[in-house]
Amino acid sequence: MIARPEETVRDEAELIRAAQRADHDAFERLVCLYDRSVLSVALHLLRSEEDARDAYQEAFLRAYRGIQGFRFQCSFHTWLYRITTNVCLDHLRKKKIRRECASRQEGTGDGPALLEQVPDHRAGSNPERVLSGRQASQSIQLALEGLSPSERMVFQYRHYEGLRLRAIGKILSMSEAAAKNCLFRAHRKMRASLKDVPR
Amino acid sequence: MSCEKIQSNIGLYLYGELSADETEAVEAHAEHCAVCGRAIAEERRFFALLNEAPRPEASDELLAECRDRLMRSVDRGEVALSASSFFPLKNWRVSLRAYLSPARAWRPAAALAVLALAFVAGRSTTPDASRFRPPGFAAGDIEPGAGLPAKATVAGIQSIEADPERDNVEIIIEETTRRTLSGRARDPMIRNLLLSAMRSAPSSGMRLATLDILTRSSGGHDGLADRDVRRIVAESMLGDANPGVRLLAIDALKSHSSDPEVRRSLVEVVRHDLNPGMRVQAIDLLTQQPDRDLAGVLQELVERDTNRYVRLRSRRTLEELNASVERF
Repeated sequence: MIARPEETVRDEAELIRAAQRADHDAFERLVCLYDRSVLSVALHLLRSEEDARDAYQEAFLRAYRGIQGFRFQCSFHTWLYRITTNVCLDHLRKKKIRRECASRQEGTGDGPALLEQVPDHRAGSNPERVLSGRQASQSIQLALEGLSPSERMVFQYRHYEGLRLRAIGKILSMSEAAAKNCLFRAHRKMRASLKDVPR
Repeated sequence: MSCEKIQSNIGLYLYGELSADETEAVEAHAEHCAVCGRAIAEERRFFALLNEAPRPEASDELLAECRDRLMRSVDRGEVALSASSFFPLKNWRVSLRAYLSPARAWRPAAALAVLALAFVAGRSTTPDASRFRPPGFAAGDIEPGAGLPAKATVAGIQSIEADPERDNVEIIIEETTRRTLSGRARDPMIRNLLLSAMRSAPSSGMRLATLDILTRSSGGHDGLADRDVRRIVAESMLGDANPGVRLLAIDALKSHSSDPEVRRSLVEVVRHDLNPGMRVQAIDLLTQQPDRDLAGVLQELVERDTNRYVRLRSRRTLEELNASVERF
């Protein structure tokens, strides 16, 4: 009986190695494993669906082109996060989002800020709370604009994505101590910006 | 631990970034120090304020759109892992079904479509498919059905959405105004549009999804029982530029591999398809029911196929048929 090629259960390392051998299917499976997370991170960092779409595309195309250089020195998740972060940083610098968002907040922009369009699905939300949440959101958005790109990345990854500082350091190619200092500075600035917002 | 050190580390404490010893020291200190206790409470309120900002989440539709755009870029060769345009596809069957599976790729919202695709109007043919068109069936045209104008073209299709749970397909056609057509996949009008999309959709993602809809069995109805559908699927198996589409097509035709037209198409695959995965699948299907008419093809494969499995399988089948392995 001739042995025919059998499907085997692949762990992630096998998928990566297969993708490095130009296995298109393996790369697609890797995309499916992580792309929701990549898109969510891009959406949260860039606060724009259009920019998040572009960042998603660019991040995965960079991963596709660069996967043969992946050396398993960190997790694939970390590697992809790093690519996504760099793509988002590039977007932030190019589009000068701080100035655009600030002008939107002042009412001179073309449309409502993304956060105002995000529905509040939390259980028990009521109109008053939703309104109060939106006002807090606008203040938080402004406060985030006051951070440097690195501080913003560290803060958002720690507070909203829940990543450990050590992992954040690897993603942003900085030491854990440096990430910690970024976080301290970010907190100090955010606290100062939000001191008048009712809690 | 001093108050100064405690208060400088409150944020790290709330994030769980401190070691077990440090955490215990902070908690023990805060129990007896009102100042630090208040500082921790204040920091908790600050965190709660930060959490009031709703976190934008990626919708299923946005994710589907991004995936489709990425696949189209890869299909168009905007980026390549290697110089070859044929990637060996392993686990393709599971991967493609999983890719299209609502449970995995797109979490269905209540009663809404689980698969959303779109392609740009304007393109009406794919060069490879044109060789295998049945006579009398022009590229991009579909037979008129109830409620359609004399000729509705694929170029007008804006999107196709399928809801497997409700056995419903919704197709949006752009004419002078946007139209939405919906119905079951086996309704003649929907079926004709889907067949046209199989030939002419520029996006392989669209063709994959359409193929999945056409060949899916539901309510006891076998999508491939329809001869026209089988013919289009065979055309895709032979001529689609995307190997993933061709592999899905051959997988769909497995249950009809004894059909004479399908067998003729499988012979063409095993002779001409450059993808070894395709030739392996085809030879397996053909040799499940070997007949002596296959002998000439099998001898050819033994002699010249580059894939070892195909050569061995062909040789073994010739031996079972008591036919010569060599050509004269």
